[in-house]
Formats: sequence, C-alpha cells, structure tokens
Amino acid sequence: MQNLRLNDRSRLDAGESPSLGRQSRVQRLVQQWQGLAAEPGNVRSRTLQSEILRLCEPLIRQFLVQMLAEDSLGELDDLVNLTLCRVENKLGTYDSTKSAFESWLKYQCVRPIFKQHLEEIGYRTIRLDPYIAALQARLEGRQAPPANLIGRLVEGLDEAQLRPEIAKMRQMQHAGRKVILRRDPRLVPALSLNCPICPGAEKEEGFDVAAAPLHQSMDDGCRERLHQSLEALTPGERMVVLGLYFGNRSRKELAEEAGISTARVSQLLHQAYKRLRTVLGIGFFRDCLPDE
Amino acid sequence: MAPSTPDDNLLQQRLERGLPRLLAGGNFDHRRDIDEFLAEDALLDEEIDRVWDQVTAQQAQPQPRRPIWWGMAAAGVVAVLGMGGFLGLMRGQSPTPGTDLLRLQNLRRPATPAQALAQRLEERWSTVAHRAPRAAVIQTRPQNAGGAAVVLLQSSGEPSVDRMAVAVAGELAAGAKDQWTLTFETDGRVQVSEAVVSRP
Repeated sequence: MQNLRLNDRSRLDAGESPSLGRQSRVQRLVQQWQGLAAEPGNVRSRTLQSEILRLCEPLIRQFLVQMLAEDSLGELDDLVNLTLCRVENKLGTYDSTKSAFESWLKYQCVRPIFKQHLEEIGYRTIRLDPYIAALQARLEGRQAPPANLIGRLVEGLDEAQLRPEIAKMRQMQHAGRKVILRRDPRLVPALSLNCPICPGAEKEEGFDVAAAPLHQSMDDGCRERLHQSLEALTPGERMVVLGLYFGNRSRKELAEEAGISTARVSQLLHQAYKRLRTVLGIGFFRDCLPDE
Repeated sequence: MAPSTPDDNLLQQRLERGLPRLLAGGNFDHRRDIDEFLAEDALLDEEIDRVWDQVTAQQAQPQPRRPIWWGMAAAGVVAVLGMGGFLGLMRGQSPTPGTDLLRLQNLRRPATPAQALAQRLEERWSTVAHRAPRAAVIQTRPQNAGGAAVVLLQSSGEPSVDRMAVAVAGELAAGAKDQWTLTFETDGRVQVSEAVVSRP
C-alpha cells in the first residue's frame, strides 16, 4: 500500500514545475524513509537517509555562507555537519501533513543550530541604518561616548577603517540586507565549536578550588565582580540568568514570558554558565563560590 | 558544542548555588533584558527568513537557460576557430613543390627549411628593401662543398642592393639540400619557393 501511494505521488511529481522538483523529491524520500525507519539497520533506510542529507547539504551550506560574517566562515564545515547531525536525529519527527520539508528544515534544524552558534561566539544582530549613521557621525567628528553595542563597535574601529566600512555597509544595504552580525567587543573571545572554554583555561581548572572562608567584605567584592561580568553576556544569556536567579522564575515561566522554548532557555543558560566561567576566572570560584 | 567536563559540571553547580545570593539586592531591570533579547531575536529571525527564502529560491532554480541565439553564436565561434586552426595547421605543413609561396608575416613558428630560410633572409633584407626599385629574384643551388651557387634571375634595379641580396642568399642558403627561388620584395618580405629549374 505504501509503495502504491508513493508511486502515485511520483506520477504527480512528473508534471510539477522545476522549482518544486527538489523539494518534493526530498519530501518523497523522507516519506519513504519514514516507512522503513521501523526496521533498524535496514540498508535501504540508511541509503535513503544519506540521500536526504545529501540533498539538504547544499541548501544548508549556502544559507550559512550568506549569513556568516567573513571572520566566522572558518567554522562553516563544522556548522554544516552539526546541522546535518540534527537533521539526522530529528528526521523521525517530521510530519509532512503539517509542514513542507524545507520549512521544517529551517525551523527545526538550521535556525536553532545557527542561533546557538551565534550565542556561542558572541555575535549580535545589528540594524544597518543606525550603524551607518553612527559610522557617519564619527567620520564627521560627532561621536558621542558609546552607550550601546553600535557605539562600542564604532569606537573599536580605526579612523582609516571608517570609510571602507561605510561603503561596505551601504553595499550590503543595497543588496537588501537589513542587519549585520557582529561580535560584541565587550564579550569574551569567541568560543569556537572545538574550543571548550578559552586557551589555557583548561589548565587552571585543575587547580584546587576548594573551600575558602567567605567574609562580608569579600562578599561585596564578589557581588561587584559578578555584576560586572553580566555585562559580558549576550542579552539572551543575561535574560535567562537574571530571570532564573534574580527574578525567581522557573524555566517554563521564563520561556513563556520570553516566547521561546524551554530548550532554548536551557541552551542559553548553558552558554551563560560557560561564558561566566571564562569571565569570572578560577579565582572567583575559589574566593566567592567555595566548594561545600 | 564541546562536551562539559566533570570540572565544568562542578563549577556550574557552584554557580547555581551562589548566583541567587550574589544577585540578590541588585538593581536589574529584567523586563528590559527580555525586551532587548526579543527585539534582537526578531531581527535575527527576520534576516534568517529572508536569506533562507533567497537561498531556497536560488537552489530550486534550474541553471538559467541562455537564449537560442547564444548557443548558435557559440557554435559559430567554435566552428570558425576550428576551421582557422585547421587551415593554420595545413599551412604549417610541408609546402607542395612549386605552388606555395611562404610569407613570413603569417608564420609565427617556421617549421620547414624554406620557412626558416625566409625568416633569416627577411631579417637582413628588410633593412635595405626600401632602396630597391623592384623585386630581386635569386635562385640558389646546393654545392658539394656545402656552399650554395647563387644566380641573380632578376635585378632589383639597384646594383648595391643586388650584391647584398646575392651575398645574403649565398650565406644563408649554404648547406641547404634543396634548390630555392628567392623573391626579395620591395616591402621587405622574402618569398621562398622550391625552385623549378629547367636545366639547359
């Protein structure tokens, strides 16, 4: 019965427009794969899965190439592989009656991995219009002290970089871009997918960070250090840490309040912990958060 | 993402325990953090959607078809180039005796003795050709000693130029195994053809 249905579908596809050909082909392969998935180790199942991933790969790669900033393209292959792993793992959850495959691919696989990557490397989303305006203002000597991310980015540029940067941004604007992705200079260095924390940090963690007496004056110093280090978090990470530990919300409450999934809350929290460990350093744990 | 180590987990537990105490009494605007996060997230989603749509449209499109005249023009160019190459190749082959006069300007890579001789003669002749009222025609014949017998069949009208042409022809044709008829044109070209000698 399954084969009959698929054959009927194939005949329908023969007359469809070329632009829908690849999409319907993947969708058909997924349906065939789902029909076989109950049989573990099935060669046909593995072949179909490989073919599905092969068809997804160029789309994912092209998307990432267009989205990633030039200095993050080195991680392109890792990101493509991570996304394909997610496709492989979640393929069983795809329901063709609810969405087209490409839509599912974007929302369930590409977007979460890409956003997670941006969180990891500390990239922020910046509107082009105010960024160009701020660049222009500095070029004309009207720069105010940096009060936000755009201000910090513009301040970080050399005089000689201003004109080329404005030209580049205008070019992107003409190409239809509304935003760019840039690393916040206030954040800790990039956390590469292959780099657990930061160079040298692994050695430090081997130190004895056992209990140390905690005095009131030291506690004030610890608060000050922690509050400062919150500035090194992305808005998402900061929102989750403060929501959970200052606002006393549960993960579910926070997810509902922010309109995101609890999985995303957990991912942001995990990322925040990693960045805080790096920013605070082992001395903070020894002095302020002693092992009980 | 890199897997967490046991040390990472321990430090994480200590953060979880200590954060409520260390954050208590702080002056944070949690609502502002949420708004900032949502605004940035929405911007990013919008950009992801836009780029994704662009990429899927690009990927879905078949290779753009060029107009039919484009293919015809390309085929024409290929045919002309092929024909040109073929003719050039044919001209580079050994000349048919008595029929093919060789012009040096058209020969980028002289391949035959006649072509080589024409090139060497032109290098010398072109410096005095302007002094000649008309073309000089010389016939060369190889000698047993390795030299060449040179006969002036037609004078250029300028004795000094004739002498120079005869000297150059004798010098350069020395050692050649064939008989040549050399035509020294007034524009500096030298045509070399295998001589058709009617022996007396």
